[in-house]
Amino acid sequence: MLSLFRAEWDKIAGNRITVAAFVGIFPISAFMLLVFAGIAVLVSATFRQNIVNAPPNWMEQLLFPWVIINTEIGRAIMAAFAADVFGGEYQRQMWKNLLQRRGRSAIILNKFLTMAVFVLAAFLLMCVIIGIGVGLLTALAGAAYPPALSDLAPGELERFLRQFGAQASIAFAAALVAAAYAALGGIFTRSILGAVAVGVLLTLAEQGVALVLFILNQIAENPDLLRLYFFTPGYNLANLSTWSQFGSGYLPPYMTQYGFTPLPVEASTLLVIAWLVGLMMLCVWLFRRQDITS
Amino acid sequence: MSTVLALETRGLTKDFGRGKKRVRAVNHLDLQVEAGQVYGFLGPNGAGKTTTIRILLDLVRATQGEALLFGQRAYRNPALLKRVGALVEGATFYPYLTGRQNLEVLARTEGTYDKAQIARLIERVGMADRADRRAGGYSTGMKQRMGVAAALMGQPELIILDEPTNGLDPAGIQEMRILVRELVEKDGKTVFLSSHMLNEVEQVCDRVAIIRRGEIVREGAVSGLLAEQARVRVDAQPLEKAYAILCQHWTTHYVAGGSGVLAVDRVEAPRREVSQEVTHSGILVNAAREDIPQIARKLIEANIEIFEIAPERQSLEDYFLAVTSEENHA
Repeated sequence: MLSLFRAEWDKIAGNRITVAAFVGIFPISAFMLLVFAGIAVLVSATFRQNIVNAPPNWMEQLLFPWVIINTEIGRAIMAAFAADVFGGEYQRQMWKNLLQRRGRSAIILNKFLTMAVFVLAAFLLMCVIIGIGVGLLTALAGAAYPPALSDLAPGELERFLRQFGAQASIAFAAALVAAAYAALGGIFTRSILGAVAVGVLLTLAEQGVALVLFILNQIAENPDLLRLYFFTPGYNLANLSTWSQFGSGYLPPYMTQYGFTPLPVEASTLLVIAWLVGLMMLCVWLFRRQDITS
Repeated sequence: MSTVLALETRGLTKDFGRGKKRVRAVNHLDLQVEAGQVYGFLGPNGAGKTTTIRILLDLVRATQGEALLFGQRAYRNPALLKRVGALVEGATFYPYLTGRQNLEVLARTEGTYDKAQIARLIERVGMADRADRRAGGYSTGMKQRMGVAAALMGQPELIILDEPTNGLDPAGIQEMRILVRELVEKDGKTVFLSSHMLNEVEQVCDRVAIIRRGEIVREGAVSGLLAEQARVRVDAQPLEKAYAILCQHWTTHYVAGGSGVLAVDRVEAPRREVSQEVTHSGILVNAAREDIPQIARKLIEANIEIFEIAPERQSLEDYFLAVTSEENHA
């Protein structure tokens, strides 16, 4: 299994243009921004003073990257990346080489795992770049980089690590959902472009579902219709992220007026797991039935 | 003692599409390939060769029948497929990886990664100096060579090569021919070879099957098939009289020929179906070597001067064209 993971990792990492465009862009952009900010710190006394007046918190800095991946745009970018991972095998006619060497289920499930781990690694790298980079900036500005470890309240570091782990896990799940949408697109269209289109469309369509339900509610005057939005992966990922960050759940503003409350963490966790298992099993089932004719 | 079959198909059938758009690519195909030989799989474009290979490799599901490898069903049997190496319908690679990296990825996928073995295979297919270049820049011939290397990875017992000489230059074709024979004679492998290069097939294959419209139309040892439609060349004077005499005994009708051919004729012989062609320089009689005394006797009895009666060696290409055109006329 490790060998199969390594094979997929090498394939993904070797496709440098795609990796740079859809995943590498995040840590690279963070690095570039920090370099730019570093120049600003060196040349601008005002900028230095601003940092001294309101020094950044390293805990917040380390958590920031995970928020990106859990937005609709972040997930859409992940879907586009996954489209190449899945649709690329069709477009490059590589399935005929791979499937004579390993079972279909193992290959497709390994793709999900490797792709999500790859994304996770890229965002971990981004966390490190931001964490260290912002620290250097504050040092250049002559400011502190709070909170100091010695100033931490009992259990605060543990709480931070738990939050970091939760955010990383939500990002992992978000990447998997995006990958599943793209994989379905790849299986149906047998092309990268088709996988991108379907993957991005499905990701963005989740917001469309909320809008459709809102309009239907206006027409039918049945607020229970809005409840269906709770069953989308997008809502539950956002809800889990909000619970992890702020200790309270997420609810779209238009739903509050009807007395809805956010789903609890347990319900959202179960729904995300159900979606992940369902989508991946659907991909495996479809792929196992498919004739590879090119 | 029972014969070990490396590959077998039983009533193998594959339909693509549904309803009125349904196309039968493979039609109740029965094939048996014994281990330790080079088996040629021939047929015109669209005959069903690649579809058959894809079913054998479990890339495509059969509509009916079954494909067996080493006596076991190939369908959803990835462990069994590890005993098979294949190059299917042109070699393909990840264009952004080097040739060597491509082989490494495939070996890791299979779980048989061995750096030294990959280097040996690259050497064996003559790609040592180009293996570290990106595969996207490879010519068709270079891809084919690497494709063969990929097929040989993991020490498979059965090697399926679908048009392996596509894009290769004459020297490359010769190397491939030698490699294929070596695989059988030195390494003890079985090679199932699909090719349009009939000259190559004739030189390397022990047995061949000719497939057309998804069905086998001829199958047998190459030497046996070629003997089946052996021809005799007759040079005699007067040529027209000789032709007329031979027609009395074999000819049933007379057909105008193309350039260099005056006429072609099909006749029914007492023991076998034969045909004759009259060319500017002589007459070609589709008859076996043992028929020569009878042909000579007929001509001598008619006072025809004989300059030459000689068996003419028929190539597999001639045989293939004869068989497939025969099927077209049927």
